[in-house]
Amino acid sequence: MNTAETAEYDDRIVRNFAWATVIFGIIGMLAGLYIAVAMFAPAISFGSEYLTFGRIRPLHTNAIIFAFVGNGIFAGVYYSLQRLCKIRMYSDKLSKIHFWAWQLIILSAAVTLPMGFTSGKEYAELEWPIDIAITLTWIIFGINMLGTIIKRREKHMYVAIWFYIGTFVTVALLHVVNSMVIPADILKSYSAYAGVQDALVQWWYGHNAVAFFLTTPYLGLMYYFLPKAANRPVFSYRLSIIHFWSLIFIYIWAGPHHLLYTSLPDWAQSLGVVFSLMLIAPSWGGMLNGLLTLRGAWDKVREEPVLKFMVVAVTCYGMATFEGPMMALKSVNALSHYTDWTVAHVHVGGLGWNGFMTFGLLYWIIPKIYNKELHSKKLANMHFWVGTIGILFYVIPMYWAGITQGLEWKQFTENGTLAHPNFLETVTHIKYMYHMRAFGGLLYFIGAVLMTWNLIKTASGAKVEDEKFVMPPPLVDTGEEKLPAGMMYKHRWLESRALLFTGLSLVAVLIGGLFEIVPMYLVKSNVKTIESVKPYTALEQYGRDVYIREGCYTCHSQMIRPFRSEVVRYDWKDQRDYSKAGEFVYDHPFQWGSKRIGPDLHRIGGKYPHSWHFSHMADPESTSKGSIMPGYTNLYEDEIKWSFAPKSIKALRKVGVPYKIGYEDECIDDMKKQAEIIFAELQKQNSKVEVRGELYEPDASKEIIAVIAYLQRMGTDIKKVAELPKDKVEENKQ
Amino acid sequence: MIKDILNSVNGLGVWGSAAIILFFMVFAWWIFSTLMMNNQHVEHMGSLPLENGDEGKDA
Repeated sequence: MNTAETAEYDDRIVRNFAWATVIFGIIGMLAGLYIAVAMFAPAISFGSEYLTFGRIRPLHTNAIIFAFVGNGIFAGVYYSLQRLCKIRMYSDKLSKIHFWAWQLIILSAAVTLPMGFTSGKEYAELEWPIDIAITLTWIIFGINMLGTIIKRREKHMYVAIWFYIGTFVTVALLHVVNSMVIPADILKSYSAYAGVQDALVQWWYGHNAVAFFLTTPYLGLMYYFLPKAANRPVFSYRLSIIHFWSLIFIYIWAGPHHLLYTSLPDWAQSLGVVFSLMLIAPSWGGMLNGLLTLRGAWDKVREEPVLKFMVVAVTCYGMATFEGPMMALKSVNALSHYTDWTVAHVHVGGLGWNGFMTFGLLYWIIPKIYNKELHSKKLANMHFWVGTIGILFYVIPMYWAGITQGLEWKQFTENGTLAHPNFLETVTHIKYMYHMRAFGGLLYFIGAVLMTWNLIKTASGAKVEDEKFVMPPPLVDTGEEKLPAGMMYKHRWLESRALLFTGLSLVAVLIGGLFEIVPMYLVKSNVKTIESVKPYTALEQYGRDVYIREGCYTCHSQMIRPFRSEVVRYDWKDQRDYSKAGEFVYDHPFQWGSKRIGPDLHRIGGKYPHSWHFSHMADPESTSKGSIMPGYTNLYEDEIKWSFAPKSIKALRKVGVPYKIGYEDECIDDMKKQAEIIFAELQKQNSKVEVRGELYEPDASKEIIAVIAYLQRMGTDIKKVAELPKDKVEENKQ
Repeated sequence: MIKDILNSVNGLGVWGSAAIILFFMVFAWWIFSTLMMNNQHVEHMGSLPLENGDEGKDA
């Protein structure tokens, strides 16, 4: 006969992840505040290449997503899973390995991203060795979580656990598929996919990183911690079933809404739009389920900071998940995309939903695991108000800036010419909004500092011991719940089958992925090839690598959408052509970008003389008064690493760029010849630029030469026969 | 073989229609599934987070 026994939850791991959340929250927000200031005062980088917007912005996004939110997820999951399963974690050792491996990954990101080691794909910037470490760590987390679920002492899995399972399987799938690369070096690789296909995979990942890293685990946490904090059962368990399955099934399809009006085939764009609209139903179902859980307990919201944070978090989730599908409408997206509107939208979710839910969770967990009352409720309330006002100061100016800029980009005069032909004009008009955004970010950061102090005071002097609990007897399969024939609707039965549940969750998310990605790869008509589009020369490719390293894609798009306002603005030649899918077939990775802080560069090639780029890259204000781009004087000092070129050619050949066998042996000579031509042109144009008293003159061996080669090549193939000699490449991609 | 089949597909819009039909079928199935659930089970599961006895201490 089985008897109940007393055991302890592993709260040490919860404490570790909770403090890691606090620490990396502060760091990630500080990085965000820094780049917010860099948007109106680029001199803040003091000329250091390690501190430019292009390198720190990925650090900010990675720190917030994977370090702050990631650690927050793990703290919440480790706390709630043990209690919902009524058992200690499956393995303390795996918990420890998971914790330290995750922190090491974060540390490696903090070192490599400012150094410029990046894959150039948003929210997936980390290079391949770190990607492998992430995969292994995620598997360790999964084994530990599933192990705990399997040996649980509660017969049925609560809805929070479904969301944890859905998160685990989908993030694993997304990360592995999107991280497929061929390494050229220990910290440099090329995406296995090119151009349009790379864009689809990347935004399938990017969108679902939001869905399955920033949303589903937090919904799981909401379903656990909101009833706890309100001391009310969840409003509708039935609704939570519909919420879970429809959300994970639909979310995975919506990625292409990030690529509307781009070169992505229309059918894929339409799928993205339709499923984005359908997403409103499950998202709002979940939000209402959360808010209605507070029925009869709204009086507590007035007094309890934990509930205050959670209510605003769930409300922000509702706002963001209504706005997202609206932005996925093509007519809205035509205006909103590439503007600060997207930034505002993201931060309603980031600051409101994820940030406030994390704060609420920490204010709940820390007193619990230290067995002490929260040090100061008053301070927590102050944090709430400072943070809420901070969010408003952040997002309202960004909406304003986004709509203003979007309209100005599209505005024509009565004569049919662009009302604001100079892109920079549309930036300087909204600069004061960037000041207000930084102020909002500062308030939010101050709130987080208040919380840190409050939590430290709560924990200090506390007697730390793991919570004891009475463990129910092991589950015995009595055969009572065998699935009767013809009773396939029994969700209750499924709730007691952990592995089957995991498998079905995987199937639900795989369907969307397969419907979108498989035809994209196998149907040739998706990407029409263009005869004149040739692979980059070795020097241009090197310049492209530098472009990626410096994070130019964080400010510049390479995608001219088929609007009159865009072809007139960005295609400076007479053809007025939008970007075609066939122009990107050698782009590993694609660099379409998602935000235009500067103008689109897809047809920049040949627009300006070499000397313009030479001056502009060192001192942007020398050619563009009022520019907020930082100078890149490091490109004038750093030598081209010639020995890297053969490795690059070999790796690119492996991913499908048709360089001839043996070109790797000739490519350095090729690069030097092209560099000399550019150097001679620069000398002829008497190019020189002075920055902070330092005079920079052309030198054929410096990286700026490769960058100029790349910039001058961009978007030119479609209009002329490429210059890469026939004997250097195999036939074009077919 | 899959490649040949997909290459021969004319009008990829059919993928969109198939996807939506598939979704609504699954959606309808889950709604039916939840309506058929045992009330006692629903109540028990909805209250599961409250079973540890520490709820409401700070709230």
